[in-house]
Amino acid sequence: MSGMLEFDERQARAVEAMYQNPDVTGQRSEVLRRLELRAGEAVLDIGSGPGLLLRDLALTVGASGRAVGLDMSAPMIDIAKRRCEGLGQVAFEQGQAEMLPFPDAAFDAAVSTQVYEYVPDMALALRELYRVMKPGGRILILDTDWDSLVLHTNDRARQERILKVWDEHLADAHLPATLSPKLRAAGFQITRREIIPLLNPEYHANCFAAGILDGIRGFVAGRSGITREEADAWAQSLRDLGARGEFFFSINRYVFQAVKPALK
Amino acid sequence: MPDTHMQSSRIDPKLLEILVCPLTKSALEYDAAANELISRKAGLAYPIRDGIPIMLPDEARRLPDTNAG
Repeated sequence: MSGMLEFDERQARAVEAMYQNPDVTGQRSEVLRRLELRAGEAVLDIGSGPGLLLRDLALTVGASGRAVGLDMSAPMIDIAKRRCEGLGQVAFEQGQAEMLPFPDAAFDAAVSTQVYEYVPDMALALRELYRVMKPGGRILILDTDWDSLVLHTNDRARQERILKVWDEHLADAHLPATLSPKLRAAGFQITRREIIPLLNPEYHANCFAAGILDGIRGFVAGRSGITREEADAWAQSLRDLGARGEFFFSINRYVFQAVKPALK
Repeated sequence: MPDTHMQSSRIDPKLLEILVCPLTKSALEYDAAANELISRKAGLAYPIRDGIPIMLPDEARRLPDTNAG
């Protein structure tokens, strides 16, 4: 799996802060609503990160249910564990999406948000997901397609070079565009596809765009011909646009829901 | 701090029911003394740190050949 999922403690904290932003909090409640969990169900969160969604999943399935968080990153699991303290239905494992450490037909529902775009072998990861789902089990996958980014700039050529380098941080920066046939090939029946847009038409220090743009700046600086000065200048130019009321950012998250067909 | 580490490392028995070896998908044995999850089929012992099973073959201990298989 990509090294980009191996966060140190500082990076894990940065992700946690970004995910507590109102833009992402809204997305999380949408995900929870669409999963339609019932009390007593077993639910898996692949790439549970700082555990914000996992905690909500656990509270929804209740003490008679089970909410399992799988993550590659020990610092992320530490944060998530503290967040879910006192919830006996929560368990964590450190593991990989392509090699799930669960028996066949273990889960009623599974969710994975902003994770599969980092996974190199999606065919294998989806076969594994199919295996651990009960017949009739529901899955929800949410990922960004970076082709959907709209980001106003006064230097389009520079920004295009920077965003091209940013694509390198993902195994597939455009996964949603090809996810439907991949789900079907794994045996899933697709039930619903939707967009959750993220729109930041103004710049604020705590908007989602501010967090992700700083992440982009940090990643591209000194990589593939982008100098630190150039990356900093790009980020500064966006903040300057913000100060003049000329900032504009939007990106789409694509939600795929599917089921493992029930036994006939 | 191995003492405090062991204290907080007790694994939830209900968790064992839903864990298998990620390589072979076979059942695991819990070795309480070593605080490891043993996959006889893979010949690997997965460590448990702070109560979290580390289900990554790269981080697992290879069992001596006599115990494997």
